[in-house]
Amino acid sequence: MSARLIALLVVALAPGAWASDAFFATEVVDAVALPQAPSGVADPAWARVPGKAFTLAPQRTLRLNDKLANEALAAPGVSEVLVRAAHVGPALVVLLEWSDGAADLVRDDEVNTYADSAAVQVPVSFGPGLRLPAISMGDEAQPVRLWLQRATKTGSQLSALMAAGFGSSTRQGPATPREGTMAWEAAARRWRAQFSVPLDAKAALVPMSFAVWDGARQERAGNKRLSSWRFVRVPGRTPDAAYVKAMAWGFSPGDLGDPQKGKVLAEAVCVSCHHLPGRAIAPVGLAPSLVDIGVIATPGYLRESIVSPSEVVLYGPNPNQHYDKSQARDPNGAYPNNDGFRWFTVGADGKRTSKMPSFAGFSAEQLGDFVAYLKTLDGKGSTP
Amino acid sequence: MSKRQLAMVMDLNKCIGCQTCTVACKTQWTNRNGREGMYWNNVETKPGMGFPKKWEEQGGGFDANGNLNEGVVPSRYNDYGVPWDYNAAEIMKAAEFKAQTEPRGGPNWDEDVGAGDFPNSYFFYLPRICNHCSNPSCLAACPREAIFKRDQDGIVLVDLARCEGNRMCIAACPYKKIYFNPKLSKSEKCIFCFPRIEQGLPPACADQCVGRIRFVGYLDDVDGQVHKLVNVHKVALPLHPEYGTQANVYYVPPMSGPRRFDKTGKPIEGSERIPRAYLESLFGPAVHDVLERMNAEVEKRKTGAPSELLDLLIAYKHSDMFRLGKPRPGFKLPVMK
Ligand code: SF4
Ligand code: SF4
Repeated sequence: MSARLIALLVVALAPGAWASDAFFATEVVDAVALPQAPSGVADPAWARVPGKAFTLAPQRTLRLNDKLANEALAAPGVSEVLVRAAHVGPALVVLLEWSDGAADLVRDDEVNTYADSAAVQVPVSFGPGLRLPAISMGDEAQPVRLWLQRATKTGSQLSALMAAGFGSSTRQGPATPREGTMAWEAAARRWRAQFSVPLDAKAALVPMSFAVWDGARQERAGNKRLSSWRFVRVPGRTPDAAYVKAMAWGFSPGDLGDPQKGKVLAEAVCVSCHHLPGRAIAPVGLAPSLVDIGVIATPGYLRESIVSPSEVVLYGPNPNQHYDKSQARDPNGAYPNNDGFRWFTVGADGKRTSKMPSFAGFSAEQLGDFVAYLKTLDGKGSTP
Repeated sequence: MSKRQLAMVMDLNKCIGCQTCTVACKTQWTNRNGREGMYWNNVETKPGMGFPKKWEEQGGGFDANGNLNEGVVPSRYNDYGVPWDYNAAEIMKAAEFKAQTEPRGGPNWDEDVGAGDFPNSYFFYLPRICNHCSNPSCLAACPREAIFKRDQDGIVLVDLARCEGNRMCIAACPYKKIYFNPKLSKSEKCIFCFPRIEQGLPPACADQCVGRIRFVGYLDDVDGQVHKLVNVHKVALPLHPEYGTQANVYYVPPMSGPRRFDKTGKPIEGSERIPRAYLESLFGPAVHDVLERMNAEVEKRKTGAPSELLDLLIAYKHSDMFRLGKPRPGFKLPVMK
């Protein structure tokens, strides 16, 4: 690239680039162009690719019913995943690296053990004008693609899935999982797993999120640890400035306000339905718990869900988890479900509306304070 | 939840613990493809740990307010048990006779042990299948909603195409009647022999029951024995009603049988061998009234007076125990090859 062209680019990008420096520093992995895909996690080519560490928090927005898995949630579950990315022709090859106490593998002789696993998630569509999918496996308007690897004796089982919300993931392609690339490094006590994500010819900034499961903590399904949406920047391509601006909200000084003021606000308006650290007044399951929300949600998503909660209506847990004993039983003895625990109402047209009221009346300053506080909820608090 | 509900009534006074039902089920459904360790039907001795071991202490079901409880997924090695072999070859060389792997459990692990001290020891058999509950907690727990209840008969089934083997259902079932298939990585359970039901045939366990203890029919079929025993005579009770799943297998509780003996070996008049408190812990407080009415019915019958209830329970004709509609015209039972 000529010096003149670089100078031009700097001029063209300068305002956006300055404002989003912090965003690129903490939220974006720069992919490195490689002539060919690494053959696996041990390929020496990975040594030339720098990585970035992202925080993972245990999924505690909704509580599942395995007693031992829930007990494990009481111990600190916050961890990190180191992500490296390579751009190879029509794909992004991603290497995840994370620590674990021991290797837990898929077994065919025991029925209460779970395998260490990892997954990457990418929106089906993304780019200028499109919001990110809900972090919990997408939503109906914004579905996601997922790649999942479960550790086996010989490597891993790799599955490709699509999902449009919690509990909706559906396998794509062959019914039997393919052989993946996941390797345990006993001395370092860490897993490495390589994923290949198809990339279209134009995408310059690819949203991606990461999850790992520790079998020893009984983790499987929604009992997992996950990151918020992060991004991979494709080398040699220039991200759309407006898209960067939209995604980067909340990462530059001045976007967010005073977390202390936000805390006062949140404790006044949120706790009748949501759990906050040390403030668990609402019945479990009434609404998503916010104890780790700062790790798993982006500032933009938090702002949107306060201003227009029905933009993304989370489906929530299985509606049969609560039944209503104040109602009459049907002729077969069944109680009807307790709709008080549903997170939405359904209109005559079948459209779902979140039960959460909109707080669009908040001033920009109040919103900034609010999101600043929610971003401090870092997953390190114990389950309330 | 469903339009109709199939149910089974088991008369515990007639079960002889022969395990024919267990074997009928196993050969029909669970002797292959990773299901070998499952017993969709098992017969356990009560009092006893049962199968899987101490299943009554593993949580699940709903709390008193109708909220799903937490539960535990049992272990194959420690709770369900794995089959073992003996060192048959070595004992010919005068080795000590022993198991090749340490036996830790099995489907009839504490069979016939029971409780109480001689000569007042007691036990009875409790055959168990999935209860095809009206508020199934297995179904409620599945984050993928892969478990469904059939509208036409209330049979609870796993959609194996949706099941991802996450086992929340196993933690949730307080009866531990849904199992993990480690070969397929799916959860599987008693299907109430729905392919047989659809042909007008009772489930294999009921059809082959040697003791003729099992009645099968729809709860709303007012001419059916199931309806009469559950809703008219009200002598059949669900197991552990406090689990809150509204189970649809109903048990006629065991009448106490022989009296207790005193120190001198004389029977104590009016005493009962099986403690009522124990029966209440299984079938709830309604068990007292049921047993009193059944005892009264027996006394009445002794005088020669007719008893519809006892005639029903005797089940003179095995085929009268099942009311499932007529088989499809031209239907023939498939021949096993
Ligand atoms: S007995 Fe267990 S497996 Fe069967 S329907 Fe009830 S909760 Fe589900
Ligand atoms: S076949 Fe009938 S009598 Fe025999 S163990 Fe089973 S339920 Fe009892």
